Formats: sequence, structure tokens, C-alpha cells
Amino acid sequence: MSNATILIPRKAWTKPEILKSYEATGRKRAQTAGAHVAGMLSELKKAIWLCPDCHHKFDWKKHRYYNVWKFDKTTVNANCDACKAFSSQCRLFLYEPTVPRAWLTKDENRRVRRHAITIGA
Amino acid sequence: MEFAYAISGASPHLKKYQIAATVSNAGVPLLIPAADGAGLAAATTTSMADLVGCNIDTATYVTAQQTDGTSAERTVSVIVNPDAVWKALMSGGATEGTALTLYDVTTASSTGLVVTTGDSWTSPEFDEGVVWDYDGANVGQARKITSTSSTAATVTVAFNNDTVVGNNFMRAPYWPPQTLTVQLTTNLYQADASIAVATGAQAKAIELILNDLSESGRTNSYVLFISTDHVYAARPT
Repeated sequence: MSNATILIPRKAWTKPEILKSYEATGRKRAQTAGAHVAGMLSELKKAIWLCPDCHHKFDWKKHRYYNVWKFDKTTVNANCDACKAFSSQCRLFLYEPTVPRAWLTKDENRRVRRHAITIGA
Repeated sequence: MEFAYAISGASPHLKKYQIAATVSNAGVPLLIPAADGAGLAAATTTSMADLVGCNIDTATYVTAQQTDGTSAERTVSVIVNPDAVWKALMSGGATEGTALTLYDVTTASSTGLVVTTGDSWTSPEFDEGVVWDYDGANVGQARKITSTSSTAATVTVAFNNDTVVGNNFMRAPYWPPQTLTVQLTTNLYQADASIAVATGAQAKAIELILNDLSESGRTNSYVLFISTDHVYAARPT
């Protein structure tokens, strides 16, 4: 006769722990990196970030993406969408129509400040 | 709203999170899930408690298995730096893109200390907010409002020139770094600058970018702020 397993629900989860449970699971085990990125392209034009080893495989111009690293000289800290490795040098690619609301480009930053009064600058 | 910079100078830290509602716009503040929630929840116009960050892409929330072979797990990409500074366009009302209201001077001030208009400065209350010249001799100047009445705003530091009848001024309920609230517009990606000082969601103003007539200031002025209730802050609430 096997022993019964008693499951005791854990209480007092911290907020970061709760948040961790909602993180995306990322590329599935049987899925290639190319297929995963292609899926993100087909579904609502997701933001994509790729580490220095993987970014050259992505044709961002062809897919109408904005290359944040190329135009704004900014890298991001994230787990690469292709190889899953964490890198503080990931290149971020944003679908162009989302850029005006999601990302302050260097040109836009210059434009709005050019003749403005800035308090706290 | 857009990620402007992080106070620490760090690069953006990105994560993908599951969602509990369709996120149609980029630049929306997202909060830690509610109890039994399936993922991140959107902020409200007056609350950004337990902010996770703002999204840089969109997603449609589904719960059932999908017939097209895609996964029901839908995610958004979120910038999660707790010290991120967000830049929000000031809107003249709850609807995104509303031009800021102009307030024309009805009584001149020979001291440059009073902006008298035919409009109330106490309802909504703009004491401790900012006033700046839109098209007069004081273009390029902004002052903190230190007292208000039903027809005028008074500043402590005088404008460099007299105010003249017909000059237009603009106002907003922020003065960095004193301001502790920013109210969001209906779709949550701009700041409603028509509300009273000290009304809105948990945020500390860091910077103001105030434009005038020459730069279409009514639709081209911004408040930059940091969250004061972030889930990854050093002292989470």
C-alpha cells in the first residue's frame, strides 16, 4: 500500500514570487528558435530581443521592425528569444507602428526638447 | 507612455508576462495580477499600485484552445525597471490627444506675479502646479503656482515681463519633484493634465517638457515620472 501524499498549499507568497509565476514560458522544447521567432512575427508583431550571438539571423528590415540598438545605441537586459540565454547586451527589435507609443527614440527626444522649457532636466 | 531612461542609468530590463485582459495599446502601465487573475492587469486612471512596468507590444487575451494552432498563452513584453522614468504626453482631458486649454489674460499684471484669467484656478485646484506662457512676451518661462483664486494664479518668482491682456498661458498639475500623482487618460497611455493637483495614480514627477506656440505646445508637452509603488522596488509595499 502506497503512502498518501498530503499537499499543503504554500501561503504568504511575495509579490515577486507571484509575478514569477506569470512569466512567459518561452520557446517550447521541441520548437526551433527560428520557428519561435517566426511565431512572434505572425502573432501581433511582438517585440523581439536577441543576444549578440543570435541577432544577425533576424532580418528586421524585411519584417518592418525598428532596430533599437542600431538607431538609439541602446541594448537591453533580457533572455534571448532564440537561445534563451540571459544577456545584458540583447538587441531589441520593435514593430515599427508600436514605436511612437512604446519607445522614446533619440530623434523624438531631441525634437520635443529642442525649444521647450524643461523643469528638472 | 514611453520609457525615457532609468535613474540608475541602467538599460531597460525586459520580461514577457502572461496577460489577463487584451492589451490593445503599447505604453500602458500593467499591474501585478489580482487574486485568481490569469496574468498582468491594466492600471486604472487613478491607480498604479504594484506597477510591473509598461508594455512595448500588444496581445489579445484568450482562454480557450485555439483552432489555428497558436498557443492560448498570450504575453506582452514589459520594461520592468523599478527606477524607469516614463514620458507621458499631457492631455487636456480624459480623452487621449485632447489639446491643453489656453487661458487668456483678462487683467494685466505690472509685476509679473499674477496671471489673471476669466477661468477658475481653484476648481480644479492648480495651487502647486505649473503655469507657462504660450504666446506672449514670457514665452520660454514657466513658474510654480504658489496660490490660487477663482480668477487668478499667483507665482512667487515673477515672470520676466508684465503679463498683457490677450496673452495666453497654459497650466498643468505638476511641479517636479514635489508632485506625487499623475492621473492617466482613459486608454492609459497619456497623462490627464486637466485634473487638480495631487489627484491621480502613484507617481513622482521627475521632469516637465513644456512647449509653446512655436512647437505646438498644446499637443506637445510632457510629464516624466517615476513609479512610487513598483513591485520590484527596494521597499515593496
